[in-house]
Amino acid sequence: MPTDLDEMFIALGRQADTLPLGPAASARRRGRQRTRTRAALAAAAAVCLITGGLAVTTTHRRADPSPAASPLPTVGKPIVFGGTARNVTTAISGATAYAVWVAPDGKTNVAGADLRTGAERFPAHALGTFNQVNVVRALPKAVVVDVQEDMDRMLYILDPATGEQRWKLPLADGDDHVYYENDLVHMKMKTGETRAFDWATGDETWRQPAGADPVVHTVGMRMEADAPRAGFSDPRLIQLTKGNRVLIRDAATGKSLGNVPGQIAWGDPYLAYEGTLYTVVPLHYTEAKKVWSSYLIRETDLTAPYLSRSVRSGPAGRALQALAPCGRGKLCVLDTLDSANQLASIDIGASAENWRVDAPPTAFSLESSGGRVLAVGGRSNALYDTDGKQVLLPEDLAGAHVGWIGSAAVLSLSTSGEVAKVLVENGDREVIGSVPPGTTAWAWNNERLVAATPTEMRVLDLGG
Amino acid sequence: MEMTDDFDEFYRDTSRRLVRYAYGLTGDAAEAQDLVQEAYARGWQRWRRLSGYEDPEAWLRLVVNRLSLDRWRRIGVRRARAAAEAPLPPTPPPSEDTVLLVRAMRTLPPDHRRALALRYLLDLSVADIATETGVPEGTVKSWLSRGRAGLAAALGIEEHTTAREGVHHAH
Repeated sequence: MPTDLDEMFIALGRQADTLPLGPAASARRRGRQRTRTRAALAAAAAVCLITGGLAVTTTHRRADPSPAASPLPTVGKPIVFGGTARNVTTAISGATAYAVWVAPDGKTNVAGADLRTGAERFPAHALGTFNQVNVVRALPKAVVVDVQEDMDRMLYILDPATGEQRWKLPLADGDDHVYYENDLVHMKMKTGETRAFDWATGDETWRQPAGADPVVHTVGMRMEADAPRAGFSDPRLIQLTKGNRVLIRDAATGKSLGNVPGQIAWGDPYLAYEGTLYTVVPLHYTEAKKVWSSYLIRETDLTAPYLSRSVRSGPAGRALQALAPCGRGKLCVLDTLDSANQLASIDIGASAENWRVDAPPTAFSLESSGGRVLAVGGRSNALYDTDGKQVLLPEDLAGAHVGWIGSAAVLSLSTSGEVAKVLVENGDREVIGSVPPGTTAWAWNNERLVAATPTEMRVLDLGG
Repeated sequence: MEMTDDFDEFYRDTSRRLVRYAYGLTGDAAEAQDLVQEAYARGWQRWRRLSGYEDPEAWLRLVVNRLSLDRWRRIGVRRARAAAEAPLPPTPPPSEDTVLLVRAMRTLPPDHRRALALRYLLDLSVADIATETGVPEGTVKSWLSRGRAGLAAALGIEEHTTAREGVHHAH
């Protein structure tokens, strides 16, 4: 091995040797805690989004409240779990709210409630015994429960009307799965094979074996009109190969619609949006100049003749963390240098930055609506207007969990359980109520908020 | 108590190596420390069974590898935990070479990164890496070769292929 790389690995090892570790007792203590309480994995699993009735939820550990705001009114009666769960997740699709909870013995249950009346949609029943629920996605034709049992991960596909299990799909590291209206497309990293399964029956609808140039990533084509976290409405399935080619398939049949040579960087954020693929060439070091370059965003038109060009490089030394569309002809990027985050808006056509501002140091993803951008990072968030002005500062949202409600407002849930709606146009904040003490999971749409504690789920009226 | 003593002894004997591995995969000190603690926490949950494995350390590396790839976990768990636990002593800043290598490692596919960490931070043989990762030795050699080439490209270093590990075609 080249001497300089050899020496660099030795230096890396020595640096690792200086990292302090807690005693064995702290690992044992953490192990006991994992068994007793909800895993922090689920606590930071997803971001709560709201749109037109579709929502994914998150579970959180929350300091417990005596909020000043009045409790949000409960619609109907709460659905009681019959015990104290160690892991709870909720989701909404259409007119139904779902709760999935893990009892202390690992037994995992699902229940559904009518959002309009709060009445039980179907009685609670068991799915199986697992360590934890990673995430729940509620779609019009299926509810997908992603669970973990030791080292194994599984998707359970449920009937949205009854909560009954229809079929299940094991997942492995590196696998991709993409949700469409009628089926789920799964790319298995180990074999390079791509298959589609009917939501209702689990029957395989098509299969593409691994080619000589295996697929390494599979994504759907996002369209501006698509609701976040919903299935993809555009029928194109986009696959990136190890040989840096882009394959375009019909997601309904698996048939090839074309393939494109592309400068793809594995592992970096990329986006297929409105017929264009945005990929990122990562930063690299130039020894002669002793400088790091930066990331380079490239776009490839996914319709013939598949024109491709460089859009924009980031500032020197900055690494890309997240990429999201944020208005017509615009991309927003979150990049970082030594943990200092910045958010920038790029005019795609002009290959120019519209603006660049500081972002919360712990932000890791972007969610946009109506051209405005929410930089989300666990308990550190900020909201930016279309011109980069901060509508809500990290301090305003300190410790809160936030997400869009419609395109003109953000809903925030503070650590005290207070629920507030913030108009993005002027930052006006209205406290509309509070969730029950001990709430650890929630989901919302424009009219309802579903809140779950370790013992029950309630449908709450947002008064929208 | 005997089980606790066994686990603690195992922890003392293996934790330094696991930190090396985690740091090689992530390049982030805090992330590496947390991944290691989480792996041992899971190991403790299963210690009765795990202590009977032929190579429990390899099981822990598997956990670290999977957790390092777990996108959901990476996006906030570490910070939530750090707020809840007592802080560890500060570490000296890494050398410039380490910073460069860490950044370059992040540009590699996970398989290549993993193979390089096992080989050059833990001194595992190609055969051992093949056994641990469940792939043929030829694939491991390819990962090491392509990983090395990727690092060289990212760092602007001229790559020299050695007879010991050189592989000139994709797996």
